[in-house]
Amino acid sequence: MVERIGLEQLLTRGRPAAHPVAVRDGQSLDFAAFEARAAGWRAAFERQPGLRQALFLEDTFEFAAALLGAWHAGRCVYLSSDAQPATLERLRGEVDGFAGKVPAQYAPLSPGEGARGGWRPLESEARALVVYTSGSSGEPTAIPKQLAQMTREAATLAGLFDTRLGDARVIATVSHQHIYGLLFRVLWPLTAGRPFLARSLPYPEDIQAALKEGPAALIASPAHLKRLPESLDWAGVRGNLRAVFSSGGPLSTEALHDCRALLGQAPVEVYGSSETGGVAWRQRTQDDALAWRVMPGVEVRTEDEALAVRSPHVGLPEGGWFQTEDRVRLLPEGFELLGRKDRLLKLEEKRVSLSAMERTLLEGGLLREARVLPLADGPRLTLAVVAVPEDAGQALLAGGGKRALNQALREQLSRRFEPGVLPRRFRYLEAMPVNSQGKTTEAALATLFDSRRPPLRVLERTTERALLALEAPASSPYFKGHFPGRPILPGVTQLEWVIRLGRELFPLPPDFLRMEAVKFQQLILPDTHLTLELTWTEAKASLQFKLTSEAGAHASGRIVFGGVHG
Amino acid sequence: MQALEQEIKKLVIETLNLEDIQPDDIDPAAPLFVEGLGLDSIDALELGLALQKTYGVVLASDSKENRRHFASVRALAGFVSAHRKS
Repeated sequence: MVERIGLEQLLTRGRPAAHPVAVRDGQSLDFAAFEARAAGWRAAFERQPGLRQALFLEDTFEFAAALLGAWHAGRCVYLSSDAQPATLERLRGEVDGFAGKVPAQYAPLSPGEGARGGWRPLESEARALVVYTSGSSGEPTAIPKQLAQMTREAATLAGLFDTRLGDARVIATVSHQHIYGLLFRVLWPLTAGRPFLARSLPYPEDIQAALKEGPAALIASPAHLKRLPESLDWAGVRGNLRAVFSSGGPLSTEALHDCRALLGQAPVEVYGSSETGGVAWRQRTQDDALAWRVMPGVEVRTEDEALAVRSPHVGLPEGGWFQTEDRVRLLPEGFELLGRKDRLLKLEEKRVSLSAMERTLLEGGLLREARVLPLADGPRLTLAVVAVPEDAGQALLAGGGKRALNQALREQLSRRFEPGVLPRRFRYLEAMPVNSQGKTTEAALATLFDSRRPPLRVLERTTERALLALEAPASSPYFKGHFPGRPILPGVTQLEWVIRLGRELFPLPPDFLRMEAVKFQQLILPDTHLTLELTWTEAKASLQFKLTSEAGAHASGRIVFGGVHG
Repeated sequence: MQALEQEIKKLVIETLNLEDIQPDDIDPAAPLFVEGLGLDSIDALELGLALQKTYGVVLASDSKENRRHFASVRALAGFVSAHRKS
């Protein structure tokens, strides 16, 4: 087995020049190449003034070299979760400079030639990294990390799992720009001397193809694991799959069963957060309700029913306990997660528990999943519900329309809640929207109530095709001023709807590249009932659309996407 | 009167941002508050402001009388047509 080296000494101690660090497009990238890139990045960071440097790169080998280069130049690296304009703008106020693949307006640093050697051990106590929570509500919060925390966590992972991984390479669906991906697909492999794939594998086909190449460990999230297509030949390649890791959100029982059936094994689930680092793990090989096992060196206790953590992975002063919002029951072998702590909200002077409201909504058997969120409705705060209906709820929708289901749910709630706090607005979906970390964020839910999103019903849906009934209500803001006295739905709005709904239904890459064969055949007037057919061709990253109504065809064409999710 | 009732139904829907409800879904004789549309006292405040802006009607400070005006769409229409400025 390869020698484990802490991050602090990785470049001072070094590895043999030909030791493989990463694999890119079938090419092995060795330690000599890694050291050369790290030296180039170190030289570049030394020239750039300011300690706080934002780093964004898609290529994980290049990212690892830049990270080490920045640290050896004494810089603190800020990891943005993506390179979206809003994210970069927010970050601009918090850092002294940018590095990597971001637009030219941020003057990003790129590596030059730097003299190799002259490495000095890194300071364990240095504030080396700032990550951002992808929490379920509100603005992202910055979380500083010391190098020692990350070295300790990489060592914990190595101690727990290195043996079962053997000679596997590391392949991943998740981004290294988040703490989970950073630890599992970069820092742990670097310190364990295990090669990793330089590129992310966003699609199941890529994972399947990578498994043909040889033994591998897959770093994944529930968002990917619950979407494994049965049609791929998993049986032929799963012998090479040494382990699957899942973190970032809860893995549903359905996804667990799919993994057992298709991949021939249960994923190793890791429970933790950006603040706490890894806390516990489990592998539900047989028992669906298996308890979480606390990682070595980590201590847990309950504080007001919620889990508190003391761990070498947490950045708190010696002996500090970090209080989480997760309710747990402690067990001799670990703990059981019971859900989030009550979310309380003051609504027009009345205290409401959103969690209790969600539980009540589920009790009636009409809904499978439900989330309650506050919405600013003009001057007043009201509650809104986003839900995935059960069959009984679907039947009510089909029979009496949305209003019938709204009414049934309000009645169900009115037994326990005052009329003034009952939800006013409802959205029914096929599935909750999740980000690439597998989280359903409040921001994503709130966009469902944006008046710019057209009211719709899903008529048919597969992984490649969806048929939607859409309305272009006269009240839509898009009709305002376009044109005065003769409102018609703008063509760009039609494209915007296609992209917006396409993103909700299919895993589209983040960037719009181009449109092809787009035609607008007929005007769309207010209150037109439309049918939208979307066809997603993953191999071409192309979203085909057709907007029709009783009057015939209105618009059609294809939109092509690119890039990889951060 | 029926036209005014229709107008007030639209005003209620727009002012209170009621979703999934068309003017025809509102029974003009049914109670607006609590059991009917499930509106509450804050909605009454907002509706009062909207009526004032649209029709120039001013609500009395007598809450008992107001409760009578706000009983239903039909009652509101009666109140507006009796007191409107234009």
